[in-house]
Amino acid sequence: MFFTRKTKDTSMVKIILIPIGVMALFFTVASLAGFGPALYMLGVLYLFLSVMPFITFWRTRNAGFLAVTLFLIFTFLVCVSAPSAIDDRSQIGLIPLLLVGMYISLMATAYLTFNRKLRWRGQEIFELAALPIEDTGDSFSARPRPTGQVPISKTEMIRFVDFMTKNLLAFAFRENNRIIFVLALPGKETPYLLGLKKDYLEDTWVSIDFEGNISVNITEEDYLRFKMDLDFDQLCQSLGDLISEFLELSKNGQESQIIDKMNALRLNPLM
Amino acid sequence: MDFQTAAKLGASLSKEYAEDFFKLLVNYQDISASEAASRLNLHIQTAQDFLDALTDLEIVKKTEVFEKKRPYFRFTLIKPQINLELDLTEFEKDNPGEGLTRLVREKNDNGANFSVARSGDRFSGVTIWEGTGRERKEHKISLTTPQGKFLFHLPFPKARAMTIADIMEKAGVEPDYSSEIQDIVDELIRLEVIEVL
Repeated sequence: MFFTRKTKDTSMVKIILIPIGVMALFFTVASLAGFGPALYMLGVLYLFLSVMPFITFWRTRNAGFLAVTLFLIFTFLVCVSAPSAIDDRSQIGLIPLLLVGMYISLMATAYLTFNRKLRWRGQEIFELAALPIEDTGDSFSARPRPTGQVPISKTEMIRFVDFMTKNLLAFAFRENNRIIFVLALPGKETPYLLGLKKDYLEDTWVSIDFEGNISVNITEEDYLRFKMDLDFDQLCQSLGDLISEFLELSKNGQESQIIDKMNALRLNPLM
Repeated sequence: MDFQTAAKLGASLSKEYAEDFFKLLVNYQDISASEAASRLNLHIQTAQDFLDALTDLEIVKKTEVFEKKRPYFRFTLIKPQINLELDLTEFEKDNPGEGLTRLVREKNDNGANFSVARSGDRFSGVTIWEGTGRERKEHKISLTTPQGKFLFHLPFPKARAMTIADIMEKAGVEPDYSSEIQDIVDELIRLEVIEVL
């Protein structure tokens, strides 16, 4: 699929910085206190890092994050078991088994990552919404916009909420008469995962009430993720239409087509 | 009675000493401001202002009299019955549907902040900042349900403008509410939140 990108890319520096930082820390501790303490430090760090993917799995029920959690825990166990085995080979114990577990979970994580199963999809939704819009102009307004109506039953809504959450498209919040889908845009997910974000209406969202009315709200901060000032009215309408289309596909049991649409954009799976 | 006269009359009647004052006016042939003030334990200026207001409303008559060549005024009640009747229908717009064909949309960079109602399908209020610098003031307008629904469906800045009637139809607002819709539209046009094309 050939198209002109309309959203800005997240900086690669953040992604590269974490492994570089971990390696630098490991070698610093190794040079100061030896490889044993450095491995312990690395193990504790991996254990600490495993909390976030587990919370993500818990919140979204996306099993991919369980594989990431397992990889980080196996790595932690290898790291804390290795120093004693280095000193005394007889204490090798379960290390070979742990290494097998680590490599298998690493392979699973890599497979899921490159197949975009662990990617927050908000940016892809933005990109798809912006695809048909050519008009530009300073036309932002900080208020929601009704975009249309789609008939929906309660069961269909539940199925759609599960799909959107599990596939990392949006965080769903239930209100009295509607469901709010806060788009999972890059860098916005952590406060929601940790349950720290209460004022979700201040973010970019799409709401669907139980009568099927769809409303869209795009914040100024998220509007600036686009490279140009796309016509705001058209953008909101297009986003509403896109969610409506996703909803129709979900109702027909064709959720895989939604994922295919987003994968066809071929955005960087790591960002 | 016109609204301004009724407002003045209402203001006079609402004074805490008004009833006692009228008791004096009814029972005295005429009375001066100083006599009334001393009788009711009021400041003379207060009594003077009250009697002047009643004179303007043609409830009492003011007569200039002389005492040792020094002039002063005496007041006589001339209207022992007061009827306050207001016709509020005179405020009704002659033709509420007249302005419904105006093409409107939200104005760009208007600085207004719309608050979404709990139901999520309308606005409950709009906050506008008026003035600049130290004089800047917050002006919050609470919206009725039809007004909130109407503004929720107002086209965005630079979007295709729609007639007020079309927006009302899109928002599911009955034509009976056209007067209050036009009232808020006119106010938001004045505050430069809405533009007419």
